[in-house]
Amino acid sequence: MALFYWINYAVLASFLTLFTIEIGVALSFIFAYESSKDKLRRYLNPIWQITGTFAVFYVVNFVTTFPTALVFVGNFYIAPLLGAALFFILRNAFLVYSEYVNDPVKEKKYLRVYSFSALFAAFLVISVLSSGVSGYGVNLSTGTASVIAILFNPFDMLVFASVALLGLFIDSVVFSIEPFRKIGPICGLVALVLVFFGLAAYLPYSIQNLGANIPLFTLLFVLLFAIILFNLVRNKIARYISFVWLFYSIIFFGVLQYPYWFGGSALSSSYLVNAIVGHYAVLITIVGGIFLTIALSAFAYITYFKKDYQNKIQNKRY
Amino acid sequence: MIPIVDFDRFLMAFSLGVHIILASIGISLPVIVVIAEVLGIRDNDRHFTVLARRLSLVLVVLFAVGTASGTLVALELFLLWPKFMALAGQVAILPVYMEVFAFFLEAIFLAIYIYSWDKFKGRYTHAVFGVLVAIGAAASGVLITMLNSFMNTPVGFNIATYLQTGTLTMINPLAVFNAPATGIEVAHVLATTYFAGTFIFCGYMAFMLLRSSGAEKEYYMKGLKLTFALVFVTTLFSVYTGTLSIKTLATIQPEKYAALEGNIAAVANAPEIIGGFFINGTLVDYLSVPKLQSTLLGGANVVAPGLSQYPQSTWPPLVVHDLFDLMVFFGVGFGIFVFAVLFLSILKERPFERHWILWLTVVASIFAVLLLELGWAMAEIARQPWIIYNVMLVSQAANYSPSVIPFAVLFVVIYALILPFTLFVLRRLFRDRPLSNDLV
Repeated sequence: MALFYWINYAVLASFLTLFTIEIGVALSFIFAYESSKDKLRRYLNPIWQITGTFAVFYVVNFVTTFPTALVFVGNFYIAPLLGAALFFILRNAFLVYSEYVNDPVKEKKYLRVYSFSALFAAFLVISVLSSGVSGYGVNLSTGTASVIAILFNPFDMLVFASVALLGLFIDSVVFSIEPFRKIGPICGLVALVLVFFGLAAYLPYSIQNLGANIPLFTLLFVLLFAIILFNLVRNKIARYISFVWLFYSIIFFGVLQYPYWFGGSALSSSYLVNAIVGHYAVLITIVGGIFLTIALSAFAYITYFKKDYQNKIQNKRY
Repeated sequence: MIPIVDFDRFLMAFSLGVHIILASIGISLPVIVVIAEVLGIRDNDRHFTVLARRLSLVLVVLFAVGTASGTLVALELFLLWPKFMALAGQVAILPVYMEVFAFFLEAIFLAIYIYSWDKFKGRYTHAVFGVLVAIGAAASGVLITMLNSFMNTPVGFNIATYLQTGTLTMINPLAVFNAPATGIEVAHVLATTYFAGTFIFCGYMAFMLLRSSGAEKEYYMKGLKLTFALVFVTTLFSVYTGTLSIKTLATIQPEKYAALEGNIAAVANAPEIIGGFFINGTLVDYLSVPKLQSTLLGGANVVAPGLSQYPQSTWPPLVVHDLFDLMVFFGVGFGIFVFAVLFLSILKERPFERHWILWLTVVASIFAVLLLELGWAMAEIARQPWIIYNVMLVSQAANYSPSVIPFAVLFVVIYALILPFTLFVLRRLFRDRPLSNDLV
């Protein structure tokens, strides 16, 4: 049954990996528009749809994996999640508007709206996820929740700050955005320190889990220093490792929480789907995952590596 | 004081109402784009190639808004109706889960399609990605409709035990793929979705044809002929599947059927009741065609179901009878219109060179969208008060958090701004890329 949990968590980690990079992109558009725009657009233009699709994937996978949890998830988090959906609509719309407007001033304006929408959506989504981890703002026994406490609690603030810093770090490595190139590694290290401080202060059981996973913990830092090192000597391998590292660090965060929700007051296994649906879901995940991997590989190859064949004048026109 | 459950209903209906239009475009437009691209390659026809390229821009802009509205609907399903999704999640979730992969393929292949026009030596290779987008989009529609079929005709668990004890037993998660309503509902939804989606672009081409001249006229004429051909085929399928659908309903959801037909009592030799109004449970001011309803059900002696066979507390709102008649009226109107245009074409009367036919096509395209909305509204209202027919009431499934109230208002405001602004952006997009430049 743990397999169902970890598939769901891997989907979440995939979504958060892409979304964290997008948070870095949004921050770069706000603070370093001129130097970052072209590089980030090349990345963002094809991949924004896939990031959004991973969000839907996580939602549906959660419904499939933990159906009985929906009753309280729906009650506790309806406001922040509907809010996130609202900003998600704005994020999609203004990103695509900015792509097809032939006016640099309007493009900048639209990208501003996109950036703030993406950040607000991220804040709300991360608030819900961190409340699910810490239990802040919700009372399981009475079935009540406080939206203010869900959104504005110290643990959530630490997690959101860490995610934003991680986004800047990864983007500084992947896209070599000048203002962030030097402070990027510091952002990465500070993000990790904040996360571990938050866990130690508010979720002591996760630090106990850390003790049982020292090799994984060590690997987290080894990979981080490898990224910093390769990035310093401007080796492209840093870019690829940084994607893997981000995914791995989110998975590691999950290892520290497992199997608890709500600050240890609920066991995730209590809400797992029945075995028969779960097994079919795993089967669909495997088959769908194979198709998805093939499609994503084709996407990455065609979009980022394959050269144009047809005449370039025509290409410019579109 | 409006009950919170009605805000849930409103928000879901409004979000679905918006999403249905965007989804019908998202499902139909890839088909139009791919056919245009293939015709452009096959006949070395610049008009069709430009048509495919320009419409693919529309596709990506509307896809952006459509995926967001789809995500909202997915979230609302469990936020507004948590108990429904808790049950569906344990019995009928597999098609929804598969739909995510279809949606993924659609998104990935669309990204490839849009950003790789000039990356392939063989131009047909590029068109293949368009076909994959069309397949992904259609598969998404088919799979998500299966959840709706489950809501109409629940299967895959022991309903009697569930109603007595609240426990799910004898779970068969594959049954949802073949629920009694699945086959016909999927066929009808697909046909009507393609019908409305292609009609929107048919109307657009007709409108632009009225305003264009010279080489542009030829471009829009080709676009109009292509989209009208698709409209013709989808109209036929919509009428055929619609007729089968109502006939099937008499067997699988007789209560819903009776409300749609306006039957209070179950009778043999049942007349077809057209129009009328229910006043205190009695239908007045209606027309009646003797024996037609029973005849359509398979023979004059066939007994047509009536509402009096069921407790009045589970009757759907009786306004669905008029919605149904309105839908049939429009459906027949569309049938006559497309056949008339075809007939004029066969007589070589060049129908699309007549302004009044072009204007009629523009107006018809607006009504096609209304018809799609009307059909969905009718189908959903006629299942009330049930969210899962004979298993769970809407009121049992609803989320009673007052947080939903401000969001019901906010989403109306956001869509009221986003949708016109999207059209404005599309208009600017084409204004900045004049067709005359592309056709050179």
